Amino acid sequence: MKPIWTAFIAALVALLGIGLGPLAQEGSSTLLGFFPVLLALLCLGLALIGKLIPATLAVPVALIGAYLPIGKLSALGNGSVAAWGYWANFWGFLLVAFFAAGRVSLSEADGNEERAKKRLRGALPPATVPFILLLIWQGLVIGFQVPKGIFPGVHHVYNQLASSLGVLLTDSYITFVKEVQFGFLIGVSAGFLVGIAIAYSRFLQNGFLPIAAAFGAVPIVGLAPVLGRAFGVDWQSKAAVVVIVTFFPVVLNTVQGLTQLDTLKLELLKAYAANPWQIFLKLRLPNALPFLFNALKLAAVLSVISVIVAEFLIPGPPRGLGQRISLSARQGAYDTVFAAIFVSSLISITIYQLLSWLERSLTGWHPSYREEGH
Amino acid sequence: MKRFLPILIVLVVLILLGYPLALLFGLPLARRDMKDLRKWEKETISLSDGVALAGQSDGSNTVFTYPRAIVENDDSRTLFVNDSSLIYKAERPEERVDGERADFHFESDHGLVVQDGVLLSDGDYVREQNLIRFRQTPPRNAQLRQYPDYFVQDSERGEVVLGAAPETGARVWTDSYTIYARPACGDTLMACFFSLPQHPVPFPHWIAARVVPFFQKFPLTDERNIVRSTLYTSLGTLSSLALGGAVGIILAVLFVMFRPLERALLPWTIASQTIPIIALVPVLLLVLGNFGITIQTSLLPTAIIGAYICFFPVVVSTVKGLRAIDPLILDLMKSYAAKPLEIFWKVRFPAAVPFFFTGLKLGTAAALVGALVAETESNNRRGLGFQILGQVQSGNVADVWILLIISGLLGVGLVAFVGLLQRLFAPWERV
Repeated sequence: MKPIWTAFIAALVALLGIGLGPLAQEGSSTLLGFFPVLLALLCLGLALIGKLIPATLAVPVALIGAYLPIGKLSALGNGSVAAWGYWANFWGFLLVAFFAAGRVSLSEADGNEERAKKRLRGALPPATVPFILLLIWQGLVIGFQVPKGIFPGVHHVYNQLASSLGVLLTDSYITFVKEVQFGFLIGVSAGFLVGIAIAYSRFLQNGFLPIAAAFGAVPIVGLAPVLGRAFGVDWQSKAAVVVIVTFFPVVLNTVQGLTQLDTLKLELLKAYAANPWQIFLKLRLPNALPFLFNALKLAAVLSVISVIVAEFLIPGPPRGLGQRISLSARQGAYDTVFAAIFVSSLISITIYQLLSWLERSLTGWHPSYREEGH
Repeated sequence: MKRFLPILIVLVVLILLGYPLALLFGLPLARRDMKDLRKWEKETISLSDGVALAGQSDGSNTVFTYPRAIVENDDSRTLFVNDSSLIYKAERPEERVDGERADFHFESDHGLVVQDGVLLSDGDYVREQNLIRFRQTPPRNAQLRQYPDYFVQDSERGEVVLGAAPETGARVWTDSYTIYARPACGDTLMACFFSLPQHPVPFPHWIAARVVPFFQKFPLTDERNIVRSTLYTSLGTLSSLALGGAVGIILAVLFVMFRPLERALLPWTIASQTIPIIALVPVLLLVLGNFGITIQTSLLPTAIIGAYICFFPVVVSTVKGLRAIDPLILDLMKSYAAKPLEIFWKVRFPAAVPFFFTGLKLGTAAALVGALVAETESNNRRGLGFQILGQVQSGNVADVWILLIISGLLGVGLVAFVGLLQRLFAPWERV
């Protein structure tokens, strides 16, 4: 892949070169005009060394380099030659940052490297991506002078987040602790029990599984208004949506996990005269755990999405993140919308990571992890 | 036949389960209707002789009780103490209750003072003619009333409190009053159940009875016709599948070709799925609106939302497919001196096709949900999503259920369609 990288760098330098002329034209001293280009070349040099630490250093420097022209862009307005220069500058630094992060992950490892370095190599590239995206967002909003009412800048969202954190946390409490948690617990435990029942009945496996699979294709959130009528418009109806949404994936995966057994192991246990209860406890249940965790992760993601849709579709008392998003969007307060989305994403990513961690600690023996370790 | 019999039996059981479910959800609502006095029929009782109220006229007692529950605001009700008639009248204070003022003027200089429906005792205020000084300042917007003659303290028990205690042996009587006669919905719980205006879960045969009129409601030329809406929504979902599939393939190929890209972006594609994208629908609609797209008639919002939802499983399984190559085949290709691009086109790509379709199938149902939500949020009148919302708002629960069944069948059909495409494009692999 080496030629591609060099082409990459060439394109980049060309971009920065375009930036050079207009910067000098603007009237600032030549040295100042050259400064960003020099900075970019420095970053590229650091990244090209191919060692972990220089490449790591290059990433934040390049990100700051991309941040600096944003302020100038807002003052310049669009269309002027200098503005083009700053744009070139901005995109060039973003590319440099991305390139440097890529070099971090490609940098050669020493024979016996400390764990911290290994971690850094694994974590830095994904950690760079959100910064790049935020810079692009901010650059586009400020550079094109998009008014706050049409699309808010990152700083607007940040301010909104800081000022209305209390409200958003209350909303998250309603959405996650009351609606999601309650529905998730009921849906998952019901799904697990039904899954066990189905796994032990050939008839239900033949009859119920295809229907349960088909239910995966039913837009269950469409039921939300109906459930709103049955359970009232407060949090109970949204919890009911979560129950239904989480139920089916858990059923399907539990059945798969309990039935897709290694026949050798089953025969071994039978040869030891294990009773069905022992087989369940020692073979079926451990075998089902990875499947179950897959279902739990899927259900967690699904339930957050569905609860927000349910809050859209069942307008109840104005509490909960979905309600907040829907109401704010109607009032044109898009900074609040993004702040609420940020909070809910943060919480659902945390839930997802928590489940993954639980999965690793409970099913670490599973082959899918062993392969990764090597 | 043997394969479908269990499915059929389970389906029938599920449909029959609709009956107990309908009762389970409907009966509490029916009971609520039955208990709620406001929903009862009223009836005025007129007596030529008059009837005495329960309660002792011992010179100090002021509480008297009508024979039955009475309607509180009732012009036809009469109340007499011996021969003098008492009038039911509520006086409002002349001043605003702003939470700071404690003195209020009323029209009369006598009567019972009531704050928020609770009768105050003499110790709670001081009376100076028609000025009432409250000892405790009433909170903002508290409801203050003065009843000069008498006050209905408990309408369900028919209890009234007189402003002045009748003298010993006085006759407290009435010759006309309005009672809550019977629940408007019917005498029995089942009658109330059947007369519910909207059942959360209707009986399955009621839904079945609505099917034909539902399909005939609009002619085929009307864009609200259900067949047309279904086709429109499936078109939206298919376009979102096309878009999401394309994005998914591109990302997967990039990931496989550039390892660093995968390391940097894959964690975020997973994270992107935990972001409630649906919440972004209003913002997306606004942005698209700013680009001059009439969101009410465009397929674009549907396509974008659906694509965002369904690209992730496509990426994951396509990457898996591009990587899951038999090393023997790779060695063979290398020994033929095949170029990397040739290996990609002749080995990796064909191997990934079935995986791609498996991922697309996983995303189909979610894409349909995204399409429905996008349609409701963008007020796109042509799709099923808007139909569902419309029927919910007009309260036709049976029609909502029909629409849900239709969208469920549509989901199953779309998955089958993707499966068909898979057989068409990857006939060598029966998954």
